[in-house]
Amino acid sequence: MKKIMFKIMNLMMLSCKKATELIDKKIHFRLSNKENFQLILHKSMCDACKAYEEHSRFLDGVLKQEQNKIENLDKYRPTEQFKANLINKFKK
Amino acid sequence: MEELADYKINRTEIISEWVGKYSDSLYSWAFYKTTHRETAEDLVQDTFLSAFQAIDKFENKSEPKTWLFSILNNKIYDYHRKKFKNLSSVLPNKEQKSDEDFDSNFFDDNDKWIQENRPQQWNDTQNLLDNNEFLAVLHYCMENLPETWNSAIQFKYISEKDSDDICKELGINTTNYWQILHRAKLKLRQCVENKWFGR
Repeated sequence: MKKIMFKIMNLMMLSCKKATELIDKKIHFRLSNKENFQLILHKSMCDACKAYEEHSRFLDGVLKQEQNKIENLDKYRPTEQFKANLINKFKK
Repeated sequence: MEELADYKINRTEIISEWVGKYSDSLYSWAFYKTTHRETAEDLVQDTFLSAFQAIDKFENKSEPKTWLFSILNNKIYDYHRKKFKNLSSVLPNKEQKSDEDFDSNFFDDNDKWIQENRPQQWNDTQNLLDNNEFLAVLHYCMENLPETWNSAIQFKYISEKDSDDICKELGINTTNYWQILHRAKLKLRQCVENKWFGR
């Protein structure tokens, strides 16, 4: 009996490497029930992977929303020459 | 005939006005997303050309700026999609080979986190989206990714397409795709942690 329990536990255990893979897979695709369960189990025991998931989702959110924040940054101005050429193009 | 001429003048005036009003924002976004001056200029120019040709379809219901940005984003998407496709067809094996090397930066022989690279607690993340210094760090870290990974992330986040559709469009299998995104995320996360959250 013990042996079987041990086998089942082993089957459900993920390494940190595999857990972080599933964390990112979950953000973009779906996990199977088994994968979901394995991940929950792993995170309940591993603070580093729990932190990894928070960070990965945080970065995901920033990358999705950054457009509204960045467009008025002064350092990336086009040259006046470029703008003048552009306007000329449409006048032809 | 006269009407047509009027129409053309009108169209030219509108576009010229838009160039004056919006080219700064469009350019800064395009440059931020591609980091090449010439690429950004090309993309912005193409955006206005497309807008010029399709101006009949523009409905005054939406803001011109929103409309122009959606055109530009499509062009940025295509730019990174093509770049990704070209680069991954040139060096498919090179990256595969280095898989183990790459993973060993993060995980030990038992696939556990290497002690000094374990994710730490990130504090005060709420307002970082409004923090230009933080966004600059993120940008720096994006630029330090291998080019194919950078492009994979760029076109993923600039479009609203879901990942399944993107894979179909690119003709790559979903496992390859999320593994690229995953590796990119591992590296990006670590860079942001080191450069911003300090250790």
